[in-house]
Amino acid sequence: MSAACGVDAAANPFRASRILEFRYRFVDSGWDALLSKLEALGMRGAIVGPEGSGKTTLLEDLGERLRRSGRRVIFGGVEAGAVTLLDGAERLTRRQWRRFLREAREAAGLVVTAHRPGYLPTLIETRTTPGILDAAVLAASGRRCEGFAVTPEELWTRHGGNIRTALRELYDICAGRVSPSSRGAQRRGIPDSFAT
Amino acid sequence: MSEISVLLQDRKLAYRPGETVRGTAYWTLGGQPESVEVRLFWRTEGKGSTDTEIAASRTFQNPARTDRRDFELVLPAGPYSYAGKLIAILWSVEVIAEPGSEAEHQDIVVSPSGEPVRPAPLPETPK
Amino acid sequence: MGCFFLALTVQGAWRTIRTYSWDRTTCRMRDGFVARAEGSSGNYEFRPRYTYQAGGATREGIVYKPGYSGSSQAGEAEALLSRYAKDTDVPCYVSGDDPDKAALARPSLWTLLIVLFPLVFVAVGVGGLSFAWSPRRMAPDPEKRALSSKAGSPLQAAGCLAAFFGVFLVAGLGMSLFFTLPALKVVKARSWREVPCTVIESRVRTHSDSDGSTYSVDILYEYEAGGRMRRSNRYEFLGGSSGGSAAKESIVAANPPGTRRSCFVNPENPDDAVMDRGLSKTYWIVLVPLLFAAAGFGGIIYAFRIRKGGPRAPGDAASFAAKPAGAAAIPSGPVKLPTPHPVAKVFGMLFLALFWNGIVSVFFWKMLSEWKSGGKPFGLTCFLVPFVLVGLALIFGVFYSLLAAFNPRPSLTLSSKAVPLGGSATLSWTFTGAVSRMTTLTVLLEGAEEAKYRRGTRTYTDREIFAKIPIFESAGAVAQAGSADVRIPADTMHSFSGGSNRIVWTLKLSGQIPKWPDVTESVEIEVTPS
Repeated sequence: MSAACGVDAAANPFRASRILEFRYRFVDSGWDALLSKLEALGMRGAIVGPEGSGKTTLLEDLGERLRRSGRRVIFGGVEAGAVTLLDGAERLTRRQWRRFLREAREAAGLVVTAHRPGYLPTLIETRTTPGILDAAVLAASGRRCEGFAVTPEELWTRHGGNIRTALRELYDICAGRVSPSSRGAQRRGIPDSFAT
Repeated sequence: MSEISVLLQDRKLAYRPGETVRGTAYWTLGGQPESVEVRLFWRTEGKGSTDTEIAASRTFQNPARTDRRDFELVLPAGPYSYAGKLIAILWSVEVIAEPGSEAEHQDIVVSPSGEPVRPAPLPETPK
Repeated sequence: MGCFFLALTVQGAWRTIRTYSWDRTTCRMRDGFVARAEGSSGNYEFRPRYTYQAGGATREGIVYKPGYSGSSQAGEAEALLSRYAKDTDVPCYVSGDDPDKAALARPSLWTLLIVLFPLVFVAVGVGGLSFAWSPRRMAPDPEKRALSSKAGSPLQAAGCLAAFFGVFLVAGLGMSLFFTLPALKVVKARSWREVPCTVIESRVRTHSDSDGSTYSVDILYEYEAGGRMRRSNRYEFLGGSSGGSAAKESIVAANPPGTRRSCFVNPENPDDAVMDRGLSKTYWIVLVPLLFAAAGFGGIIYAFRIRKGGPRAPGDAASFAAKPAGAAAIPSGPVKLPTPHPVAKVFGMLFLALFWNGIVSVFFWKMLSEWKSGGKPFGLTCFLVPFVLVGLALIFGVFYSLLAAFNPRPSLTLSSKAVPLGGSATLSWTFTGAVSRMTTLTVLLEGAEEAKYRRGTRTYTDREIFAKIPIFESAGAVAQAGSADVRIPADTMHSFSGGSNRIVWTLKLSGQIPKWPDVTESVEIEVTPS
């Protein structure tokens, strides 16, 4: 079977809008354990993990769950009685973070994402595995990684566990832009700060 | 449970730029709507972040909870529907009801040929 | 921090404002002289003595202006001596709360603008905090959300980018004023009168602060103008102080006290004089701040160019609105295609290389110092290796672009600003420079998809070329001028710009020069729907 899907951008299973639809998959534990832990932490915790491990996705899913359970949820801001969700706490300076914590005292809960622990008690450490990557590929495309002439372990290792960039490589393989065997099959984009 | 649908005249799904899209919007909503609007818009799909732009729209006056309304929207000269490797441009007609932003859409093709523009494969570079 | 400085400047500003409530009256000048202030400033101060009536009594005042601390230019103090001549009546100001407080002049209200400076920092801080904390609600039910409102790409932050580059522009222009204003005076001084003058004092003045010492030439001389003897200490128009005392010492040594020589006097203002009205090589330093200003200006233009590619509202003149039949959809007439000036590329590379290597060199020297002093900073060394390599590549880039600046340069003209699908336009080119050095010339039309996506906090752009249409290839020697038809296939895609996604058509001109950087020019053209 050819690694290329023979489809255009709209039908590419790894297109941007499709990846945004993925929901978080737990390696171990699940929603019940997570929500119980959040309650035990007094509704304050941090989702910690490396880039591309699903922190933002998990935060959004958590927000959806909280909303469906009847709570008010707000992203990035503080409102009395609402649970505040903040993505990327490491982007705040120390002073901004301290100020944000003071403001958030009146929030009904506070959950942040961060690359490293230390902001709030760790609620969960997000991590990915080749298995999770393979499952995501199957859910997106109906084929496993082998269907794209690459093993999940190889793809996962090449991208340091970053599911997002791994899926972008599969986008390129599916689009026939690169062959799976070429080691240049990643990070084809030019950072805009260096674009001429 | 809300139901919204869009039916285009003659079930036509391919249009030339500048043509008028005619159709009927049907809906049965869970409650009295504040507004119901029909929109003609394009969006991108592909590797990059999604762009979208509303090319034409029309708000139905005094929409009922269950209703049907005819509409006419004029297509602009572009962009054409496009199916590339990194970018696809897709056109749709969408009916959206507020409150709740409940919506339903029907994809159409906008191009001179009636098919999305597809770039021809580049010739192989000799090694 | 902004609020702290704001408090300090507001305090000073309040003192200035209060003097504007003082009563205006008439003072009689009794005496006045110019003296050198004690201490490190060594400024020339105008010291008046005057009398006035207040509170039913005759009082004496000695204050020229609240906060006045003199000037490094003797001529300015001397000018005040002329203005407030002995035995003349002049307007002055007396405090209503304390009649013993009086002054001949009040501080300028322009100084209140200094309050705005810390306000900028306060505004940036407030803006940044509110941007970081702007709330975003959860959408009601994501599955039912309208597709048309799922816009994932915000408008380019052209404003923020422009503001960033605006700092370079303002700072560069501000710094260049230090040099361009004196340079303008040099030009004006060509019409000044040459008069004999006598050196009274001559020394190299030292200005010390926590960063070290700088030096300036301080020669006080006397001359006759407007019917009386006057003094000035302006040696040249470019004032201030700088590092290195040797050159200044030699100027001072050549002008000891008692030396008779010429100086130049402004015919419109006899207190305005200068000893050397020439343009010294120090003035060339103005190129450095002008470089920053140019980079800032270029950055602002770039910021607004990329904003033009953002989403358009219906009815926007730039959108693909359907035009009524018969209306001319394509502007006609030839248009010169913009190509960046090679000098701009050299300056751009130079600025980038200076900026990058300037920062890296600080850490590089620190690392070297540690190695020299016996330390073993392996960590810092390994960390610096990629940065130093990039810096070296940038330096190479400067030389490469400098060589390329001497290449023949094409001037490109397209017969129509926009070309429709299925249509054609004529591309004409004319080379300036030694075109005989080129062995081949090719022109290619390239169509490409560009898609932007985010990875972490950075944005990346992917590119996919979908069309390569040969336009011209030279056979034999390359001519000084030429032209070719640019035909756009009818069944391909027109230009498109959606914010994060673009379809661009680019004319690429390439001229090969053996053992030299090639001539390369790329310019985007607009391909419109048919």
